[in-house]
Parts: sequence; structure tokens; C-alpha cells
Amino acid sequence: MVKITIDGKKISAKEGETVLKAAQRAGIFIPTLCNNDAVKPYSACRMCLVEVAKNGRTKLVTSCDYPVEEGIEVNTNTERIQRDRKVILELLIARTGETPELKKLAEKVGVKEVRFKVRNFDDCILCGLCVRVCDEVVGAHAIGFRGRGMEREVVPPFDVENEQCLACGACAEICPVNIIDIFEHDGTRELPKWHKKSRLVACRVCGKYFATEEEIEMIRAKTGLPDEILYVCPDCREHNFTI
Amino acid sequence: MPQLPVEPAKAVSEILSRYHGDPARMIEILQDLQEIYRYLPKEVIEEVSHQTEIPINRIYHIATFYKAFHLEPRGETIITVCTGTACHVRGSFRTLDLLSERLGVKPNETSGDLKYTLETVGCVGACALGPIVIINGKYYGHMTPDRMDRVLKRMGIIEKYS
Ligand code: SF4
Ligand code: FES
Repeated sequence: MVKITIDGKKISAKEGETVLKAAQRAGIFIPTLCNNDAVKPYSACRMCLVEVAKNGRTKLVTSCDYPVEEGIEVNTNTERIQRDRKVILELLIARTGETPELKKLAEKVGVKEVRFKVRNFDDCILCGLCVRVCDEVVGAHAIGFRGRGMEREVVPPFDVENEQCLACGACAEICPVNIIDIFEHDGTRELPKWHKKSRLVACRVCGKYFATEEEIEMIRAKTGLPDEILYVCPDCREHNFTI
Repeated sequence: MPQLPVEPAKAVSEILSRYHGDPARMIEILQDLQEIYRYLPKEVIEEVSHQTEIPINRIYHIATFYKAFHLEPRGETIITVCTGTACHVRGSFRTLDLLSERLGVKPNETSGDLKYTLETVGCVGACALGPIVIINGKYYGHMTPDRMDRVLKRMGIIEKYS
């Protein structure tokens, strides 16, 4: 156990956990955009800035990847942080326009007006969650960053459809600003952002579409399960319906 | 798509052995490959991924992050015009316009026959000699449209195009 203070509250944190985690467990709100428990911290969005005081010195750090240390004093809501947070969020809104998700966060952190020209040239905030979930959880490595600076964006390699993408939709699920569309119609699932179109597989018991062909093949390769199990949807499997 | 001069599988395995297959040397690996092909063809990047077992999205990220890597075919002759501040105020854009007209390519494009690539660069660090034009690695200082025409003539480029 590591003893730290957050906003004046004494907290015992777990060895090796991040300041963000410790704060969340203590019920202290720190705004985040690029953080998700499913993947490793990435500190891209800078929303989670906090002040950490150690040996009489104070510094600004991203709490999502800052490990707790004995005796540190953390402040999550000083004037300086409030000011910096607002600027960061205003810059993001200038980039993407005021999407519902960012609007909600803006209200929470007290952004009243955006002082920058809202250019709205891209709706992606480059948090990297979609890339990381595809790399770290799904293991498909189907999308990644391209370019840098103003031109940085997330694309499948070469910006063309690829075989690695399973059309599983984990990226759409995790995107904090909800900009990865998934469409399902006539037995296909489409993710236009990644130029991906997959055929859906129907459950051999109930007939409902429940997975893409690529997902089934991935699970087959990993587990070697027979068709009788692979082609039955989770619902039917739970109720022990078999082919 | 032009035929690749060296088979990707062969080129990649040869260059990887130079770095003992150490994927941490990715930038050098890509640089060496670019030397062979003058750009990084898709097939080559796929082959690097295949042989190093590094996912292709990582390699593509690296290859698109650094301006030194090119993913589109480049010309046999690469003409680079410095448009940094010092060269710009001395009129490098006039030379650029001339080159664009003579070669029939827009700045930062390659001619359809893959003969010429005309590109601009922010600053080459030789401001005292500006405006600078670099032709296949050779530096020409104090460049003016007139001098440029003479250089093009000497290189046998201009007859064909004017
Ligand atoms: S698409 Fe969504 S999840 Fe992916 S980087 Fe952009 S904002 Fe983040
Ligand atoms: S949540 Fe920490 S930088 Fe995004």
C-alpha cells in the first residue's frame, strides 16, 4: 500500500497503480478521453492533467499513466489545471466541432465558449483507442496512425481494405466520440471508415446473424473448436441448443 | 504499376540480415530498402512485416511519420527546391515555377514516365548559398531561373521539353 493525498483526502493506493486509478477508486472525478481499462495508458488527450507535489516541487502530469508514489500530494482541480484543461478541450473542439460527447465534457470542466476558430476539419480526436484495442485486445492490427501533425489520422494500412480486419466492431465500441460507423444489412456488416465489408454468419440453431466470417475463422484458428460449436450463437449455446 | 527491379522477399531478407533481424532498427531497414526502390512499395512493406513479424500497421505508421520516406514511386531524377525563408525571399519560387513548366510536373509530384520528381523542402541549412536547388544529391547555390535553364540544358533535360 502506498499512502498519497488527493485533493486533501488521504488515500491508500495500490503499489504500481496510476494516480487516475487511485482517484477513481476514491470517487474523485478526473476528466479523461483516451483512457480505457481495456488497454494500456497512452496519454494522448491530456485531459487528465493533475498537479503532483513531491519534495516541495509541483509539476503537471497526466494522471492516467503516472504511477503513485509514497507521500505525493495530488491536486486535481486547482486554478492552473482548470485553465489548462479548458484550453486543451477548446483546442479539441476547434478541431472537431462541438460533438455531443465533447459538449458534455465541456460542461463538466466549465468551458463556456471556445476561444479558437472552430475549423472542424476532422472529427477524430486521435486518442488512439481504436488502434490500441485492435492491437492489444483483438490482436488484428488492422488500423493504425498515418502521417503526423495536422495530417495525422487513423487508417487501415495504405488506406485500403485489409484481411486483418475482422469487422468485430471493437473500435466503434471504444471510440470516445463515437465516429466509427457500423452498418448491418442483408447479411453483411460494413465499417466504411476502414473500407471494410464482411459477410455475417447466421446461427445454425436460431438463424440470427451473430458474427462475421472473419471472426469465426479467427476463433477457429485460436481454439480449434468444431463447426457444431463455432456456428451456434452465444445465446443458443447458453441454452444448450445444438445443431 | 512498374515492375520492381529487385524481388521484395530477397531484398528484405538481405537487408534484415545486415541488422541481424533486429526490428528496433526499423528506420535503417526502411532507409536501405528505399535506396533500392527509390520509394517504399506496398509489397516491400508487406514483406518487411512478414519477415520481422511486426504488424503492418506499425511499419506503415513509421513509414508515413518521417518525411524522408516515400510511399509513391519517385523519378529517376529528383530535383529539390529549397523554399525555406532565406531561399524564398531571394526568389526561389521563380526557379520552382520554371522547373515546373520545363519538366511538366507540379511541385511535389512525379512525371508520368517516372523520369522526374520535383519537390520542395523547408530548409536545407545552407541559407548563405540560397536559393538552393538539389539535383540527385548535388547542390546548386545562388540559383536563378536563367542559371537553372543552363543547368537543365547541360543535363540534357531541356531540349526534350521546350
Ligand atoms: S477514431 Fe475514435 S477511437 Fe480512433 S483515434 Fe479517433 S477518436 Fe480515438
Ligand atoms: S486520459 Fe490521460 S492523457 Fe488522455
